[in-house]
Amino acid sequence: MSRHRWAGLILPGLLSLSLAQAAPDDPKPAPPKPEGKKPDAEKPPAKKKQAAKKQQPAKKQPAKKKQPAKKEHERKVRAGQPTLITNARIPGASRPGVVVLTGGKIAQLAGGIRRVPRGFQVIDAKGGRVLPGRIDAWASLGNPDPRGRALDAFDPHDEDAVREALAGGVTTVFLNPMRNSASSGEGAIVKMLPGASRDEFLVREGVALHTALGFSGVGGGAVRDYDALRAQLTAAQRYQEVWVEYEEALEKYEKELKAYAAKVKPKGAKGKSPAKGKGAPKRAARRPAPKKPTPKKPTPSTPKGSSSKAKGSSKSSEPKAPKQPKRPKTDRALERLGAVLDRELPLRVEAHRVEDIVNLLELQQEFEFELILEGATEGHRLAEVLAKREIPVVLASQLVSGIETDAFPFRRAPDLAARLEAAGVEVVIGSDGWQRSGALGTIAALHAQAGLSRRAAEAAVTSRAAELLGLEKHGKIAPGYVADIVIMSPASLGADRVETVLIDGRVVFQRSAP
Amino acid sequence: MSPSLLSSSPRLGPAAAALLLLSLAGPAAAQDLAIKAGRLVVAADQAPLEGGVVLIRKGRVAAIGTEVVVPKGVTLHERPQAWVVPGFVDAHVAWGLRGDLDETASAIQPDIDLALRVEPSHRDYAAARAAGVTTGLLAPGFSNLFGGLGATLKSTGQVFGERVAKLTLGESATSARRPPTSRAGLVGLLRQTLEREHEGGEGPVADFARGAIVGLVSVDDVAGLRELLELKARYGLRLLVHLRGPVRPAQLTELDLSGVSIALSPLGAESSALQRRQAAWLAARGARLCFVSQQPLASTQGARLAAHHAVQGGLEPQQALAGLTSAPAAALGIEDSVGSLEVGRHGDLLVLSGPPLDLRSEVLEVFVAGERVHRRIKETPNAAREVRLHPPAPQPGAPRGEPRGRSGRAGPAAGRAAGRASARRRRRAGARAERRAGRAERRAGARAERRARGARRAAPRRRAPDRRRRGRAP
Repeated sequence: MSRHRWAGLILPGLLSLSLAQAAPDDPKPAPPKPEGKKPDAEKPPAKKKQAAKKQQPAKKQPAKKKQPAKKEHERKVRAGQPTLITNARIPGASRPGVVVLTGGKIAQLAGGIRRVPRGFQVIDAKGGRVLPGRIDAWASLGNPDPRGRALDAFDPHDEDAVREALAGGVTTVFLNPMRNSASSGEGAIVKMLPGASRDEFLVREGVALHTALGFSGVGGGAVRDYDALRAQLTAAQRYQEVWVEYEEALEKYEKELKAYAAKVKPKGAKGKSPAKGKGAPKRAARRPAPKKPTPKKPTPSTPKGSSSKAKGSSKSSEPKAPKQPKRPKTDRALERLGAVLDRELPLRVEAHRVEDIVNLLELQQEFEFELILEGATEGHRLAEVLAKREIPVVLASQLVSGIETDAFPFRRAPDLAARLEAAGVEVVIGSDGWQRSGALGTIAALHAQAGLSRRAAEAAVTSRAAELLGLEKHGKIAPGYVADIVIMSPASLGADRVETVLIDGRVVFQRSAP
Repeated sequence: MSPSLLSSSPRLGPAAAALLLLSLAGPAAAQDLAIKAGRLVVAADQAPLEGGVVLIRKGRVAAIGTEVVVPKGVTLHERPQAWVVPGFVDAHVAWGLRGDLDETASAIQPDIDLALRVEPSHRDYAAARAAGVTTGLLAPGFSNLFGGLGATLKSTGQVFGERVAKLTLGESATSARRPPTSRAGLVGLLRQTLEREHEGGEGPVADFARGAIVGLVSVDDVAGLRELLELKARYGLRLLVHLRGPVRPAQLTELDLSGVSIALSPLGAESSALQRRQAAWLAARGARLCFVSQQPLASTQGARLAAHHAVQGGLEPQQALAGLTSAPAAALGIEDSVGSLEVGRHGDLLVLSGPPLDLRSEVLEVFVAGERVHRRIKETPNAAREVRLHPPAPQPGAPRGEPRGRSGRAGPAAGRAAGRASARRRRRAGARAERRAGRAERRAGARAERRARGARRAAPRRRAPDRRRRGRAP
């Protein structure tokens, strides 16, 4: 993502719609609308900015081309046929009603129907609850590559995993990479479509950068990780500066080169380039120094570029050829962190202990990135601070969250979610630690049992999760929303189970008899 | 016939005799009371009664139904929003036994008696009560073929009912340091022991071999279950089989499990869809399912969680509730005392905020023998215990990107109303959407700023305050 994302600003012509810009920013590609070319809306401002930079370093072009334009992914949607879900208990409604689905979206909610319109299929919910498809905002996948993309470890043909998620009413999953280094990798959002192609299941990748603080669980480890993370962020900052310097130098160099070419042209008619008009500088720009008919002494151009120019014009002696600045090394990990520093990507950090979270908050204050806190087992003790700093928290199951040791046990609060909620923190619930997204509903229910309001527990795995992940029109049963829907069985003694799951209005899971 | 009265009685392990005598007097001390519930579940197989009343006198259910007359002088607790259900029975717990479960010097340990290890002040007991477990079987672990005797007890520490033997017929009971070293050896040793003790033996092992006491036997798989069923038929064993491993329907086809009690423990990280469905498969073959937690080896939620998973996998809700109440009571031979709220049973009941199989329902109150032993207390507000950061230091130079706009907001009051919190959350959601939309512009800003920084690079960044000095929050 990073190199080409960052360079996308410089090289606008190539990727007319550089994903780099659109993907992290706009949630537009999310709504599954194959024909709507939403990203255009984002384009103009970016373009304007880049107009000025049009003539930028030629050198980077080839490198850029190699990277596929993966960011601007628009999910290919296979919408189901028009459907009526009848006899459905819709959250917030007092009586059972009808949900009308067309074109992969929820068209409307109705109290009842007289007759079934032509071409509609009918699913009888039998008085069971009809819920928005759950969104797992924290699903870990064991990706051993610390710089990897979580997406690469996802196998839609892993029917057991995908079907189990569906059996738990989960339709969308945010895949986290493993958190085993200071900057671990990028997450991706996928739909639980069994056996689908990447075009179909991938909603967006490069959604967030993920890391952990103090994850080793022992006192000393926490500080070490803090230092490592801070060093990484500092390095990323420095990296950005180096590249800016390079670009500035390059810009200057090109200007000088143009001037130089203009100087040498009249004399050098006999020379290598019999260029006419403005052809010469262009070529020069594309393929700089080495091929130029360079005179012997290359003066460092950067410090006194303008003076050399003046000198060249006045003096009779041969003008000095400008020296091309040296291109710094690229480092993908640092680039990604750079995107975090630019607040293009949020940084998701798993931290459990109070001191780790405090450290993290300090880092956030220092580097001003967008922070999403994960785990937060002791987060109740910082609830007010987290609320004030408006840091969303993704919780896993309180039963298993985090790794603790006997010497350094966590100070758990069973009602952690409820306390964070009461303080005004945005609480989202994920499945991490259970390794299975199918348990998401169970985890949310356990938080509710410990005091979180039912509405908040439901929102934490649907609408609020969608909001956190930047998924538009997800997580609610309302007209215009994506038809990712879970139909539960009628409840008895308070127990109900997932009977049918639809994604884009298409039935993708149906419970079979035991 | 054994000479000693104590050891001949299957109901009394020698060590428990004294405790038992004490506990017989227990319930009488409780106060009489009546509870009127929104919904009242008398027993798992009966439909809940709306507005039912349960009357408890002398620690036992004296009357129950919708038309119970509450006598004068008996307090009536009204819980119109709540569900009242029988207290949960958990057929395998290890309250207070952390790291001290098994002696592994030999595979048969007839002398271990956990009635001596009851310690009601331990936090595990309180945790169990808070989770709605009123009766448990405190039993040894999984490291021995015959691990010893377990005790049926209330989560208040009262031992009552029968002794129960704990056996393990699985991988975990083998050891390289003592025989048997293999699973086959375990089965062989069990057969040998049963054959010997069935005729003329005495002590706990013989009691089990004759079917005088129940055995809780852990097996890894269906093969172990099959072996046990065969031994059960031959010796007339009374069994509660704890099935630990996964089961596939094909393995069950010719197995008749009617009347067999099978215990399932909670499925944690590895709870695959397949494992969740096994409860339904076993029930379809006639098994009577019980859910056990093995708390504290697993969480306090244990049994309830296992029941929840089973329902997700297709088990009928009534059977799931039975698996938390009447089925384990019957398997442990204490169905006349606990597991339902029929007249004459112990006054062990729970007041829940919602239906019993909804995992979101909170345990509001717990009564054991008519005495309230737990009451849910809402935690104190956060303000009292939170850790505060220093006030944020002013930023040197211009902030990167747009200002975050949060520092200007007034500090949060300690007792913030929920409405305000949610309004703030909504506002923030809008702000985030804006931020997301404004990123492209910000990126330009950030870029410009980086350039500027390039110019004044000489100035070092603000140092982070030395966080090393700050320890844990008090």
